[in-house]
Amino acid sequence: MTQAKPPVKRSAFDSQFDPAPSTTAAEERVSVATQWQLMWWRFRKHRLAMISGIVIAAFYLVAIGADFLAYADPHKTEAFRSLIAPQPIHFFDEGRFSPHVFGLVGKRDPRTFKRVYEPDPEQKIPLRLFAEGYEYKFLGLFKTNRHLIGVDGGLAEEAIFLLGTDQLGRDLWSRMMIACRLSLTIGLAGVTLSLVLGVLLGGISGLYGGAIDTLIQRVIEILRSIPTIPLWMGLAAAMPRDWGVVQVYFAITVILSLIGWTDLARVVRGRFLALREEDFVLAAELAGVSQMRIILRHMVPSFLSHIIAATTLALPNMIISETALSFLGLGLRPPAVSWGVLLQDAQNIQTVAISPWLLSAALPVIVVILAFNFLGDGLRDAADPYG
Amino acid sequence: MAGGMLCRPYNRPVKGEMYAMNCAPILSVNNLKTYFFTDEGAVRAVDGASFAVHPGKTLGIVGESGCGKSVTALSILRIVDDPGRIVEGEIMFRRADGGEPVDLAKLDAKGGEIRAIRGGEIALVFQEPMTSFSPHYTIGNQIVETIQLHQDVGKAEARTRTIELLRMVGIPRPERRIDEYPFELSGGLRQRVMIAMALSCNPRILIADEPTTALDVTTQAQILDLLREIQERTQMSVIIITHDMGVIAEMADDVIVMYLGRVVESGPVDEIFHRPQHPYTQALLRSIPSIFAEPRTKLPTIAGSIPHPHNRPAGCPFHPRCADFMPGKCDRHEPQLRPVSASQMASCFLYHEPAEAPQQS
Amino acid sequence: MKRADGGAPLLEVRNLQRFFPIRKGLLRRVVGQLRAVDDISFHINRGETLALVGESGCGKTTTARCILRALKPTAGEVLFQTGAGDVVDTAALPKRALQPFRHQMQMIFQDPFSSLNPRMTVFDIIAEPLLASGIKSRDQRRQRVENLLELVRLRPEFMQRYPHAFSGGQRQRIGIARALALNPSLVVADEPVSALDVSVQAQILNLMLDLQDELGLTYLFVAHDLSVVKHISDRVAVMYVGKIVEIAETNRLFKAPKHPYTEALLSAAPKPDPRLRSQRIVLQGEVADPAQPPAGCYFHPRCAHAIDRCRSETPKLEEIQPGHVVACHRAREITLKGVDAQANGKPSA
Ligand SMILES: Nc1ncnc2c1ncn2[C@@H]1O[C@H](COP(=O)(O)OP(=O)(O)OP(=O)(O)O)[C@@H](O)[C@H]1O
Ligand SMILES: Nc1ncnc2c1ncn2[C@@H]1O[C@H](COP(=O)(O)OP(=O)(O)O)[C@@H](O)[C@H]1O
Ligand code: SF4
Ligand code: SF4
Ligand SMILES: [Mg+2]
Ligand SMILES: [Mg+2]
Repeated sequence: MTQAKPPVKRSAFDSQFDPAPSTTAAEERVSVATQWQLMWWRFRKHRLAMISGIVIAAFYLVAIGADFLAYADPHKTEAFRSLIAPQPIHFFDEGRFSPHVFGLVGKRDPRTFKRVYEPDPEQKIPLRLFAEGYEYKFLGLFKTNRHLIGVDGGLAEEAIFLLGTDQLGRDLWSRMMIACRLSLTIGLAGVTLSLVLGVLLGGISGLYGGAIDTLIQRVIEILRSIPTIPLWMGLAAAMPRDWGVVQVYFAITVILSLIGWTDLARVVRGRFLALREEDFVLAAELAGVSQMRIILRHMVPSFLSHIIAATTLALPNMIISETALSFLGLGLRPPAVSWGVLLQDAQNIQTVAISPWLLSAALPVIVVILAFNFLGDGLRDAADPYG
Repeated sequence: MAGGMLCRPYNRPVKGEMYAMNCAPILSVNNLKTYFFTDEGAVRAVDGASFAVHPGKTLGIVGESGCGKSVTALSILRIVDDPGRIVEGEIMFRRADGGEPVDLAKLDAKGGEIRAIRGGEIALVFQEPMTSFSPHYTIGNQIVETIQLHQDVGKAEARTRTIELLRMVGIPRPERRIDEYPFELSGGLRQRVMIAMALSCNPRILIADEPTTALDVTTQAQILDLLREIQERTQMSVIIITHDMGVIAEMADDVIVMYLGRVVESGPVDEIFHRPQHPYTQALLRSIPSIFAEPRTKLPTIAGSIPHPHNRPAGCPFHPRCADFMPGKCDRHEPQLRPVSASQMASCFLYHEPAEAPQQS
Repeated sequence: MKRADGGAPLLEVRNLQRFFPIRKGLLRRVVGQLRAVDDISFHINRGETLALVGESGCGKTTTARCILRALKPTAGEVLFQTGAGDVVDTAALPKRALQPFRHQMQMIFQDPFSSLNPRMTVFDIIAEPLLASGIKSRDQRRQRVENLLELVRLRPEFMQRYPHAFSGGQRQRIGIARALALNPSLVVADEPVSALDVSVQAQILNLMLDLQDELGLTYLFVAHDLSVVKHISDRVAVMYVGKIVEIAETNRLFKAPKHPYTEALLSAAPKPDPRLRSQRIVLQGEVADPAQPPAGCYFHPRCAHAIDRCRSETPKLEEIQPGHVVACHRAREITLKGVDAQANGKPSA
C-alpha cells in the first residue's frame, strides 16, 4: 500500500507553510508531554495537596508497620494499669543523651478512692530501639518480636505510656497503630468494590443507553433515597452475632460500597455520554476504528484521571462511615481495633472528663480526612490538563 | 493623545453644529496596560492601548482572538477578573454632571463611584447573552432589578419602563415576554433583551462586546440595525468590539485595530478600509474572503498564526508574520502609535524611526 | 473547469429526511417530530465542490452526518459511487456492510479543539485510520503520516507532539491530514473555517483548493458564511428550515438569486467596505421552528413577495434554468437583487 510521495509544491507555499510553533527546549518538553506528565506538573504546584499526599503515604506506612511501631500488646488487658495518663519520654539525663521514662507509683486518692499514678523521677527506666516485645507476624509473613522502642530487658507494657491507657489497661498508642491499619484499609477495600461496580454499571449505562440505562438510573435513585443510618442499623442487626471480626469487617465493607458506587457510576455515565458526542470519537468511527478500540483508546483515558480524583474524594467518606458506624456500635466491634472502636470507648462523658486522652483517636481521623480531601481537590484540579 | 485629530464627521451625515460642540472625547484611554499574572508568567493582555470615544459616535475595536479587545472593555468597567490588574495608564471619563474627567483606572474597583458609572453611565452587552442572565429569574425581574439599582423608582414604574424598553428593542408582545425566562427566548431575542437591560439606565456609552458573533447573518443584521437606530435616537456613544471587518465597516465611525494587546492602527473607518497604513491591517483586509470574489480564487494569506500569549515576539509583535519586516529594527525595537496622516495613526517602523536604545527583553 | 466528467454523479441524495423525536414529560413520551432535514435532494459531481449554506439549525450538519451515516436517515436514498464504479445506497445498508466504503467518505470538523483527541500524539491521530484499515507496519504508517503532514504543509518533525502544542489553524490541518489518510473520494467539511481566526481562514481555504486540485477530491462544503462559500464552491445549495430552497452554480446564485431567502442572505452578509452601508434588506421575524413549521412555504412569514398561495401550498424544487433549481412559487415572476463584483467592486487594499 505504499504510495508514491505526493508532489508538494512547497516553494509556492513557503509563505503559508506554518512556521515552527514554540521551539525552546522547555516548550518542546510540554509539547510532547503525555497527559500524566502534564497532570503531574500541574499537581506539583498544589502545595497543600502535595503535603497531603505525603501525609497519606506516611499513614499507610504506619498501617503496614503498625505492629512494629506499637510496643505493647494491644489486646492485653490489665486492671492495675487502667486509665493511666500519657507519660512523656525524657531524652536527656543530666545533660547526657539517654532516653528514659519514669517509673510510676500507684496511689489511691484519699478522697475519691480512685487509683492514680504518679511518675517517680527517681526511678528511671531506660528505653532502647528495636527492643524485644510481644510477638507478631510482620506483614503477615514472618514471626518477630522486635519493636521500634521498648524497655531493656523488661516489659514495655509496664513502663511506656505514650498516650496513656484505656479502662481495661490497654496501651492507647499501640492500639492506635493497629487501628490505623483497619481503618485505612476498610476504606480501600470498600472503594475498590464501589469503583468496580461504579465503572461497570456507569459504563454500561452511558455506553448503551436505552432501557438498561433507565433501569440502572432508577436503581441508583432508589439506593440514594434510602436513609443511610436506619439501613445501617437494620443491616448491623441482621448480621449474625456469632460472626468473627473478619466476617463483620467484610460485611461492613460490602454494605458501604453497595451504597457508595452510585456517585461514581453517575460520574462515569456522564463522561461516557459526553464523550459519545465528541468529534474525535465520531472521527474514529468514520475511520472504521472498532468499538472496543474507541472505548479503550479514546474514551477511558479521558476520564481515568477523573475517576482517580473521584476515588480519592470517596475514600474519606468510607473512613468516616466506618468511624461513625463503629462509634454507634453498628460497625466493627471489639476485639477488632479501629479508630471508631477506640472512640467508642470515649463515649462516656464522665470518662472523657477524667481521661481526655481517650479522645486521641479523633486526631488521626481528622488529619486523614483533611489530607484525603486536599489531595482529592488537587488531583481534581490537575485531572484535566487540557481544560 | 489619540483625541483631537479624529474629530470630524466621516461618511455618516451628522447634524453639524452639535458635532463641533461636543468634540471633546467622552472617554479617552491612554497607554492602558492590563496584565494577568498567572503561574506561567505575566500575560500582557492589553499592552499600551490608547484611543478616544467621542459623544454620539461609534468606535469599532477590531482584532483577532486574544488580542485584548474584551480585556480592554472589562478594564474600562473595572471588572477584570483575578489575576488580572491594570498596571499602567489612564481611562479618563467625563461624567454626566460635567465636572472634571475622572480616571477610572485609579478608582477603587469595588467603590461607589465606579458602581454608579458601571451599568449607569457605561453599559455592557456581552457576546453570549445566556451567560449574562441568571436562569432562575424572569427577564423582567432582572431588568427591573437593574433599573431599581441605579434609579430611585418604584417597582410598578420600573416594570412599565421595562415593558417600554422591551418594545423599543423590538420584542413582540413585551407584556407577555417580560415574564419569560431567558432559556425560553431565541438567541436573537435574548440579545435584544440584553440590549434592553443595558439601555435601562440611559447609559452615555454602550460597550457591545461581539454582540452578534453568536448570531446568524439575518439576525445579526437586525441587531446591528437596532443598535444604530437606538444610537441615532439617544445620541449615546457606542464601542463595538468584533473580529468581523464586515461588522466594523457597517457600524463604526472610528476604528482601532488591535494585535496582541496593542493598537496597531487607528483612524476613521473609510481610511482604515480604503487607505490602511499598517501592514497588519493591509494584510488582514486582503486575506478576508469576499462575497465579491471570483469563485475558486485563492486568497492572499498572512503567514503563520497568532503567537501564544506567553510567547510574545520581541520588538514589533507582528514581525514574525509581517511582509515588510525589517531585520534589526522590527525585532529589536517596539514601534509606537504615531500619526501617519491628518486623521490616522499607525504603530510601525515604516512610518517612524525607532528610539535610540533597543528595548530590554 | 475541468471537473464534471458527465458520468454519474459521485453522490446523489434523493428525498433525504431525518426527524428527531420531541419528548416531553416525566415518561419522555414522544409528542412530535422535529423535521431537521425534510425531503432534500441534490447531487455532487466528481471533483466539484458543492456548498451547503444556511443559518444555524437549518439542518446542514444533520445532512452531512446522514450522508456519512453517522446518523441514520429517517427516509431517502444516499447513492454513492464507490471506487469500484458501482453505486450503493448507504442509507439502506446495515452499519456493518458500510465498512468497505467508509474510508471513501471522510469528514473535516468545525471545532479544531474537540475534533482531535488531546491525549494522542499527532502521529497516533493521523495513523489511526491507517491502523484501522490494516496497515500493520509502523514504518509504513510513519512514512504515510510524514507525507500527509507535508501535504497539509505541516512539519513532519512535529508528529510526536500533542494537539495542545498547536494553534487552531494548525489543528485544522491535522484534522485534514487525518481525513485524507485513506484517500477518500468525498470529503464532507462541516464549517471547517468558521471557528478559525480571520487571518487563518484564508490559509485553510487555499489549502483545501490546492488539495482538491492535487488529489482530485470532491467536497461537500457546509458553511454559513457566504463569502467563504464564494471562494471555494462550484455550486451552492441554500437551505432553510430543513429544506433546500435553491441550488445554482456559484456565480449565478450570487449574481442572480431566484429565491427571496437567498437574496436576503446575500444582502445581510456584512461587506467589508463602509461605502456599501445601508444597501441591505433586513429580514424581519425569526427563523421558523423546525418542530412547528408554518403551513405552505416555510419562508412565507418573512417573505416580502408572499401571496396567498404561499400560505397554503408548499413550493416544490423546480429547474427554472439549466442547473438552477428553486423552490418558490414566484421564482419566474419576481426580480431579485444579487451581489455583483462589477457594480460594487472589491475595496482596494
Ligand atoms: N440529536 C438531535 N436531537 C434533537 N434535535 C436535533 C439533534 N441534532 C440536531 N437537531 C435539530 O435539528 C435541527 C438542525 O440541526 P443541525 O445541527 O443540522 O443545524 P446546522 O445547520 O448545522 O446548525 P449550526 O450552524 O448551528 O451547526 C436543529 O433544529 C437542531 O436543534
Ligand atoms: N482570566 C484570565 N486569565 C489569564 N489570561 C486571560 C484571562 N482573560 C483573558 N486573558 C488573556 O488576555 C488576552 C486577551 O483576551 P481577550 O481580551 O478576551 O481577547 P479577545 O480579543 O478575543 O476578546 C488573551 O491572551 C487571554 O488569554
Ligand atoms: S514595525 Fe516592522 S514588523 Fe512591525 S508591522 Fe511595521 S514593518 Fe512590520
Ligand atoms: S413561495 Fe412565496 S413565500 Fe415562499 S419564497 Fe416564494 S414568494 Fe416567498
Ligand atoms: Mg472576546
Ligand atoms: Mg452545524
